[in-house]
Amino acid sequence: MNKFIYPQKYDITVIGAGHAGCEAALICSKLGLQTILITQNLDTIAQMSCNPSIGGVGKGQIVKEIDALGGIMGINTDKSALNYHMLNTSRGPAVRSPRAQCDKKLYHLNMKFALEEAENLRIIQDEAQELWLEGSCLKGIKSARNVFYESKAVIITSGTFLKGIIHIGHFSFPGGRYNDPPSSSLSDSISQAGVKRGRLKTGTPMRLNGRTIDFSLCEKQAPDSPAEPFSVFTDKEKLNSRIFLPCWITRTEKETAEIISKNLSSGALYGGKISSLGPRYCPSIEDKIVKFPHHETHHIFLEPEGFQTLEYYVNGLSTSLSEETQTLIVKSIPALKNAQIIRPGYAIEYDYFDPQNLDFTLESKIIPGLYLAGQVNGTTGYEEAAAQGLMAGINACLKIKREEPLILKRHEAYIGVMIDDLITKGVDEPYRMFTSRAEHRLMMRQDNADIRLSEIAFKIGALHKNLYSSFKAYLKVYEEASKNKKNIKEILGPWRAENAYLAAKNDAEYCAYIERSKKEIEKAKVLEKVSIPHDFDYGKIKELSNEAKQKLSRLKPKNLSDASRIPGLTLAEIQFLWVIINKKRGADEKGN
Amino acid sequence: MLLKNTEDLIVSLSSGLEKSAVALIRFSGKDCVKTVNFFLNPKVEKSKIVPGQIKKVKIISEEGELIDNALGVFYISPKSYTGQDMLELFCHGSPYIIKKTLSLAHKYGARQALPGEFTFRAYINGKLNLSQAEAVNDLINSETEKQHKAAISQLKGDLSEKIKSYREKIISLLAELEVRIDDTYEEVSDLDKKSYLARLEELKQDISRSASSFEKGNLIKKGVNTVICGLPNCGKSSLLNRLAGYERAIVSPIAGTTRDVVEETAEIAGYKFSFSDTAGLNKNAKDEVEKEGIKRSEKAVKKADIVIFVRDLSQKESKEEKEAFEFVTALKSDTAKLIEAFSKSDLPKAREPKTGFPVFSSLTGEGIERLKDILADFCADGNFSYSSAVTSLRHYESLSEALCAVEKAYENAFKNGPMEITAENLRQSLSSIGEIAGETVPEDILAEIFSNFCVGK
Repeated sequence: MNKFIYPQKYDITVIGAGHAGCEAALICSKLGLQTILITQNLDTIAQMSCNPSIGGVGKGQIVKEIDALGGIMGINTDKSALNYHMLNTSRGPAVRSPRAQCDKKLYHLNMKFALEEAENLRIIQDEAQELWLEGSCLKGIKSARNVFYESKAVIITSGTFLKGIIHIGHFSFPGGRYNDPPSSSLSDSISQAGVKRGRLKTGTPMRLNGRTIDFSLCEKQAPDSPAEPFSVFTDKEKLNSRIFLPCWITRTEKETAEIISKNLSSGALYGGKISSLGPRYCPSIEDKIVKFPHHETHHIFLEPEGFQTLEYYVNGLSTSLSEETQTLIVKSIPALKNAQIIRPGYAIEYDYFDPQNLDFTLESKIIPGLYLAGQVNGTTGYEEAAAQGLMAGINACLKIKREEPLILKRHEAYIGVMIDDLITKGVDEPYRMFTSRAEHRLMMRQDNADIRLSEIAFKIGALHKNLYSSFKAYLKVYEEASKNKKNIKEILGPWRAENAYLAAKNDAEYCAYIERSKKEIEKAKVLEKVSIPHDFDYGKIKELSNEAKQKLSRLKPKNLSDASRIPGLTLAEIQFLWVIINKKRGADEKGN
Repeated sequence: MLLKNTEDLIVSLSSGLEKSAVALIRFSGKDCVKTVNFFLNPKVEKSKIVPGQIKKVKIISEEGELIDNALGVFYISPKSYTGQDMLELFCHGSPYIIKKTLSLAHKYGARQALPGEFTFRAYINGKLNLSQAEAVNDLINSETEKQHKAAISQLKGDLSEKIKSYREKIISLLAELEVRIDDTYEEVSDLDKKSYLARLEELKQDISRSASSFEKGNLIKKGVNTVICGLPNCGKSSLLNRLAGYERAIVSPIAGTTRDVVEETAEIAGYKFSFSDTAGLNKNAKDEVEKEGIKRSEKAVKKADIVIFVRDLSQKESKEEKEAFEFVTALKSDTAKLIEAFSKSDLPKAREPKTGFPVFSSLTGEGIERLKDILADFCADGNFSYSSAVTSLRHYESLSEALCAVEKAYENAFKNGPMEITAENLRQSLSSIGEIAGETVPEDILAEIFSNFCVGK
């Protein structure tokens, strides 16, 4: 096969056009860098492979943050949504989380359009096969068609495609998603370069034909009225003039549990076909029955997959049991007694790379110029993936522009919490966001994501200067409202004064707690100031355990604060480190 | 704790408090020169300071009066022991001059240094040389071991077991909330408010018991403050000498011999007691000096953990004795224990002691052991156990913070407040408890270690 070196040299190559890849490609092009996005299949761009929803508890906050930072997910959701529902309304504003179900086809088409429309971005249907390395230097990507794409940075967002294997009961076959072939050699190529590889599992439920569902036996979950858009840039009135569809709730029966218990061995999970770990928090129905036998019933949410289809997603019945058992399970639920499965549920195993090999910018510590984002880093969820895509894209651009990297702190954004968790703790099951992961939950709300982050978006060039003045006016309203002044009613531009009032009101509700949080954050800064030299030799410090030496040498924390968040290090070890670093510093100063 | 502020101006007396020819008072931190200029004369200009040079200065009171002629040595950051701006002030070693100078420093914004804080700052600023640093390394080792024993982070002790159990309880209570907050698909049933409140209440009481053990734990650590009082000449000083084991107070049959509060410490059954022998509570005292002595006795009674009221068996109960007893009963704190004891059992009795009350003779030693047992019982009684007692102020503060947060969590849950607020309070209680269990932000632990240095060095 002839080798074809692609004539144009790009700044950034993005591999994969899922939720991470689209964010990465769009932000890079927005920041003015020449970007190429390589995807196996243009018709599966931004495919919602599992559920039709965007947002949820903890995740909704992430989508708001993506929007505030100049990302696409919120905008695209608003363009494609068929149902909005604010979760946790019975609780306080800090944990209230927006969620929307989308028309999956619209979501795909809208995203495809956004990519096609973007300046500085080229999309190409091809398959990335291996890293193009010269020695240890990353030159770009070699494709399955033997095309060589050269760029300054490569962002890999391969989702579940790396050596993906699909399981339906004992029937299994290679696949990155049902109907899509996996990507096998790319994983080996990264692994051979020295990045630690692991295996994870996730799953999806069966889909049903809505014509065969008895909705009269379900509880109706009407969409919120009015709907709250995800994006600041969505016109709320126009959005609310659209038609939305309801979701439906039903439950499993005692019989359902019995069928599952009897047929566990028919499944891939309990039949011994799958050994990798799945998400504890998004368990398959067989997992729920085995691990929570005292629960007599489990909720099932029936979610429409689109306006122009009767296909329904059966949220709560994710499974890798045999097709025969799946049929019995569906039948055992009164509302689904006659329901026809039109796609079976399945589990998928795939390769991921240990995120502890990454820097906080999501750049590989082993292969400079290589960024990884999304499920390939061991996370689960569209929102988690998109946020990483966005941050990898931003940081790849900033590096090329020789600017300071953007590392969000744990108290600044859920995105910061997630990336910090991934890098310092690694993963042993697919990582998903929860509000409980955030120490400073009460100040990081969905209602103030723009107040927290849009200034950053402007600084990096993701918020246009024409919009910036509108944002500043909005900030002013917020600041005035925080002092109990409400003299401005309207702001020119997309930001709305009512949101500023809401954010100020919610701050006031939590003010005592927020003050405390702020004090803690100040306190933690002391450790941040103690920087650790990059070439620091941990091996020589006899007081450190071997485990600590290994972890520190591998993770190379930049300062004592980063070191202190590495699990398994004792406080005494952090103290020794502190004393020794200061001693060294003292000696160096004397030497000078 | 030291780290809460590592830059503000601190001051401390570096030499001993007892009378000496020269005393050394050290200052370190921000605005050092500016602050000391308020009470030093002539004023010093920072730019004109020659670091390390000895300078004659006058210490001047608020009223402009001369306190002392002293010598001062300034150091400018980073070239000083702590790496910050410093002043070493050598004044005459009179307790008055020292106290006055320190109080002037405090008045103008210097904070009293915590133990070890100077050295701690030297460390933070990377100022100690190689051998010193290694010495401190060793010190950290030894001090960490000491903490093993003293209380916390290391297991086995009853206190750390308790703290562990509180942590587990808080975590389990918190998890109940977190799981509901993060439950997108409403799988989890509603919280059973009644049983949840009951669990919170139980936790509250647990922590409260531990926190209140501090009072006694601390008492044991610093010594049980025991005041002996009674009518003049009822045998208080003799009792003190007996309990302390040697002649300390001047004993004479003349009423009012003890004019001031005499203090003595003794170990009884492993507990430390500090005894104060007070001047007799002679309300009719005419002598000015004796009157002053009585005033001081009143003060001592107020502060006492235990009050021993001595009644003379060889005398009938007088009106004065009755009055004095009522007086003491009213004066002592609510938590203090009052022991009535009958003295001079070796002499012919003028009355019968109340049944069950201790009777003793300081002359023969009869009944002294029983009295000691009663004192020791005070330390060991009831739910209180030395092994699980909270003896460190820091632990007490952490427990109190945790308790306060749990109380807030309870209040919020009780009035059906937002779940995330209950959770936030439990998170706070967890982090407060964590400070004891050793799962602390490391700087606090490091600070704790350095606090075992003596003040000023």
